[in-house]
Amino acid sequence: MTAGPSTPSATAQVLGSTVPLRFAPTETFDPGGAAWIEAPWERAITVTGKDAARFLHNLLTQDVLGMAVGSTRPAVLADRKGHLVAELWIWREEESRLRLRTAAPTIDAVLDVFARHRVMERVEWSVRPDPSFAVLVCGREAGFALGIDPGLGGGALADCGPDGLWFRVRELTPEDVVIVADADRADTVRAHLHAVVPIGWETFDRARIEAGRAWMGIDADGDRLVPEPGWDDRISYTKGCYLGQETLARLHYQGRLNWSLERISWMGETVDPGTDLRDPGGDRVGWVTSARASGDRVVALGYLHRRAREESLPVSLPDGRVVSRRTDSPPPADSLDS
Amino acid sequence: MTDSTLAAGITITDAAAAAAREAMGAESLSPDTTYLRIGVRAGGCSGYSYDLSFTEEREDEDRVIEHGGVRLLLDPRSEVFLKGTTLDYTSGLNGKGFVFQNPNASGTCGCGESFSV
Repeated sequence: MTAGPSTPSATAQVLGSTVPLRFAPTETFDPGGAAWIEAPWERAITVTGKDAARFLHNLLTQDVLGMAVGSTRPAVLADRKGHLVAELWIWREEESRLRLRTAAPTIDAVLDVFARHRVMERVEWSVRPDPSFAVLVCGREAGFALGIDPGLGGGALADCGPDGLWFRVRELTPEDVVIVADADRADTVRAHLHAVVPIGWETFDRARIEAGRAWMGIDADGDRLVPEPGWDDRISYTKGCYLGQETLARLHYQGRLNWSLERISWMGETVDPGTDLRDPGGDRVGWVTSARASGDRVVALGYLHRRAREESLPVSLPDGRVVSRRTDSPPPADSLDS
Repeated sequence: MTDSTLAAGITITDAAAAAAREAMGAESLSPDTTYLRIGVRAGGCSGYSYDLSFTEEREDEDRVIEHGGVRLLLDPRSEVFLKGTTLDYTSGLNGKGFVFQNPNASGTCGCGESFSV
């Protein structure tokens, strides 16, 4: 464990924000421990009012009314056709007070949908003002390292200002935590993280890809249907109607998903996002969305067409390198070395 | 069947008024103190869904409209979405219930429970 970040060697652009790429050439992320990255893309919305929970329940894919106070759940805001608008995490702080976590590139779309669909509901919302200081703490020891009660879904973080808050998410492990605080409380947040390893985006991104965790704005956008990035667990198929439900229910019960995000790998150099995945005849059967070098191979995420999946077609990159579909389970507790 | 076009441009058929009275009686609610609130909420496959409920609570901003012994409450924000709507009641082998015929709806979901504008 280290006490704090050294000077980063480079930076990366992530969801419109600049973050450290790495702090050391041999950075690692151990899912069994805890590590943190700066997360300036994090945005928090507070939704309150008598109809707050029902309003969100009627718009989002998740069963919000079924959430116990104190619990968190992942959710998606979809359009009428079932395409992605935003990914969110919901923390039901109180019966009629809920916190939403989403990313900077999607927050305006979320607020626009809320504004257009509030009719007779008694509901208000407010966006946590910028500038904020936000971090994502990942690993099974994240909560322990922060002194967070394992039974809680969120709460205030001591000394981090009246609006400083944390809530539990599931990025790389179920114990991951997001912290959002006032910008002038950054040093206080860092003090809370004294026992946690800082990592750069490169290391986090590799672990994310290994875990098969799609990110909105990187592996998914408004052209994709909610289940395509593997976000079926964000949908309740029993709660009743919500925006996009007709399409998503039909896909779930009757249809076959044309595109599905897969964990893939190949030997050699990495490629740019958007690079084609081709079948033996040279036809495009998918594309890469994320790729990171990992030793002498590349771990990646990419969409594959149903035909390639069902017929187990050999898939390759445009330069002929063979692409392997990874059918092993994501590594939940093993060390993911850079 | 006769119907009446009320303030706010909403038409309520006699069948709908009779069904509302019957439902009110079945729940032992007094028409003197009970309103039938109609409105629009977020939700449903298409984004907006209709809302019908009995209530004794009236907000200052609510419009009250009466027809056939039923007092309806309409909030001003829902009114925008319901202008020109006919509230009817249908019964038959294929199901019965209140039906909103809304000219503002540019699309509806398969089950007819929600609409888009």
